[in-house]
Amino acid sequence: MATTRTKWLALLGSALIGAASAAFAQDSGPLIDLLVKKGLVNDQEAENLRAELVKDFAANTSAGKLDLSSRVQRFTLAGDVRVRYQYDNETQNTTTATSVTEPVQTNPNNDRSRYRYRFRFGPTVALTNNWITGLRLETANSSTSTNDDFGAPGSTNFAKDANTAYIGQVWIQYAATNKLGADRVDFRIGKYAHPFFNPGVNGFWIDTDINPEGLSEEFVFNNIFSKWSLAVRGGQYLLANNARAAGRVAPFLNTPSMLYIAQAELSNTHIFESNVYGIRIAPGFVAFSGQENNSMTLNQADTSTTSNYDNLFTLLMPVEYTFKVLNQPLAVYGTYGLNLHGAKRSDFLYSTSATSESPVFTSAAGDPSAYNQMFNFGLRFGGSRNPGDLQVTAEYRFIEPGAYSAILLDSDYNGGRTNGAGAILSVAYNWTDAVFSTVTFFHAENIDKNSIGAVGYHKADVLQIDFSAKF
Amino acid sequence: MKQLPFLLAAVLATAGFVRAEKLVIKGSDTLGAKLVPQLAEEYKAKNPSTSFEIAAEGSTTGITAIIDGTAQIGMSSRRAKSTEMSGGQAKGVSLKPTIVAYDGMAVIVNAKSSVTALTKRQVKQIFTGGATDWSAVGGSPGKISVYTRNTSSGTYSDWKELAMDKLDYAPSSQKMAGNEQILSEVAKNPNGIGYVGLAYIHAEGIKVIPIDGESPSKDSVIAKKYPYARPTFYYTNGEPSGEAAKFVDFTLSDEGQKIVEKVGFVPVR
Repeated sequence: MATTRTKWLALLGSALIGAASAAFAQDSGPLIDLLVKKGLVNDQEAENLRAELVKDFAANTSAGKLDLSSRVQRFTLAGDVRVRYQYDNETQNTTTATSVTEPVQTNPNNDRSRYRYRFRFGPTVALTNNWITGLRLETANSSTSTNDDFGAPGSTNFAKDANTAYIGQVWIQYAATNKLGADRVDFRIGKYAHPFFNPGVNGFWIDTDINPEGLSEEFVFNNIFSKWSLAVRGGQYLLANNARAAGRVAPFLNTPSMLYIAQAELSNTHIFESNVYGIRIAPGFVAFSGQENNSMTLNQADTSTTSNYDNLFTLLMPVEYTFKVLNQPLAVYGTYGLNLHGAKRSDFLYSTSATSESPVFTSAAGDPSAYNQMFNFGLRFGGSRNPGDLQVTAEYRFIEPGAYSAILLDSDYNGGRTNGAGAILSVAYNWTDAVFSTVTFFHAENIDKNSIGAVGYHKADVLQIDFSAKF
Repeated sequence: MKQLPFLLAAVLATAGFVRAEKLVIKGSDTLGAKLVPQLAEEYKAKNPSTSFEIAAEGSTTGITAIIDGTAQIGMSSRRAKSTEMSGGQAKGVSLKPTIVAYDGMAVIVNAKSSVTALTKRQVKQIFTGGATDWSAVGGSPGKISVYTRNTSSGTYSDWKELAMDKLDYAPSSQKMAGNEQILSEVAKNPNGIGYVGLAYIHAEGIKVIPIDGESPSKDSVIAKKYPYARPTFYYTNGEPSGEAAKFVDFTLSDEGQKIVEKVGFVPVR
């Protein structure tokens, strides 16, 4: 008996010495219970041991010193840091198109180098009963960029006055399995990453930097037939909390302008060595619900406007098929989009009148009503999760002026504007599972070179060299 | 000089009077409603110079009182949490548990209930809200009314851990201040269910439900067969000293443990 007791206590002792960790201190209960059950220690000795373990845990571990609310089931801190060199060569169109010939470029060699960084960091907190909440701080206040600049013009050397963190995400979520007839449901409210399938470098039809604000819902039904699953998603996002905008006159409408997104994704996928293989097809639409009346001033400046909220009902069909080549994943992806209100949107974009409800075209405009389509297609080869993973992506992108809104497009491609066609090449290498480098080149040119002012760049080349760490 | 012995005696007597201590005991309603007052009464009969202040407002208040130094003994029906341990250590307080009795948390229903037995799984379903009608667990149809202790109660925490796999209580559950309140509500409500300590099971209007075939009793608790058995504690700041040590010793003595058993708990030996 003495030998057995010594053996068990030695086991516990060596475990204590060898694993003075949070995990051991918390998980030693069953081992202590076993010692009691075997009669090697009595209940009081076991309690003393438990108390000592908890004290040791509290005094000598980081986790033990952290006091979280009893409502918290799990507290996760995560984020990433990226340092970037960026070279831009973007030439704008002239501000007005006055002839049927290609506009003269005011600054054909508009090149610049930028040395940039970003960080994104915040907690995700799991509460009881499937509720989750979280927030994320991000550098930069732009909706489509999280980059801040080193050596920003106008600041003193090494100054921090231009380095600010903003609330990038803040949300409350309910995510549960086997609810409401679905295998999984996910409801969110706040400002957060969208849940939609959106294949493309930085996302094709919503820039991945955008955190839309509003509600979203997702219902997932697994194995609806054979190995196919169905995910139905909806998003109701706020663009402006009332219709007050430039060009309106009082009384302003107390009606919010909304962004609606819906998507039904059919998928037949499986995971092998951390990579997803199979097929995903996700038809849906993106629509604006804005003011009833159009105004020229709301529509002309498509890149920077915050009030161009109508004439958008774009049907989208994203598809991706991933299979194995040379023991690596090769994804073939693409999206076709058609704006059912594209003709009207395009008409307003090309109108030179800032006041008339009826568009007035320049002679350079041609037939803007036809500009209502967009698409991308690409190849993505290799993984991006494990040390040594090399991923190469090549993509072609085409977005006609009236097909979509610049509010939602990736700001790195064609300056985030419509009326662009071109290619993207990206190469990423994982030094570790957390540290990786990416080189990406974007090239875009006007689809309609005679378009007016801000509707796309004449030409936009961007080179980005990134070094990133995520945690 | 002849008066010196008398003076000395007077000084000692005064010192003895001054030394008469008030023992402040706070914490668990499970221990503090019946057991500890009876122990205190008996102790006081032997030590008339000792007075007691007993406040039974939940285990959390007992452990907090030890950390804050507002009580010499903290009654608790649950173990101190790691955050309480670290909170104590930050103030130089070393929480020391002493097992004073065992308890079995009995599942009670209204005496008229058609339910005669439950499984651990069914109990978990009922208290987490997975089962909301008695017909789902073999009883006559009727909406289940769940009565629980309030959040400062150690029994509330222990029940979550032992009976609910640490899941949350059903949102519709009603929180009661103590065992007596749960007894009263379940006795009034034909669809009521709750849990109380062993010391409270012989009440009018309720019946105790065996769980997986085991009823809460001295034997099933000692043998660790009853699934909802647990130790109950006195917490002190380090090893108890002075009057507190004497009271702990008295509680663990044969005489004290007889009171433990008489009240309805299971003695530690």
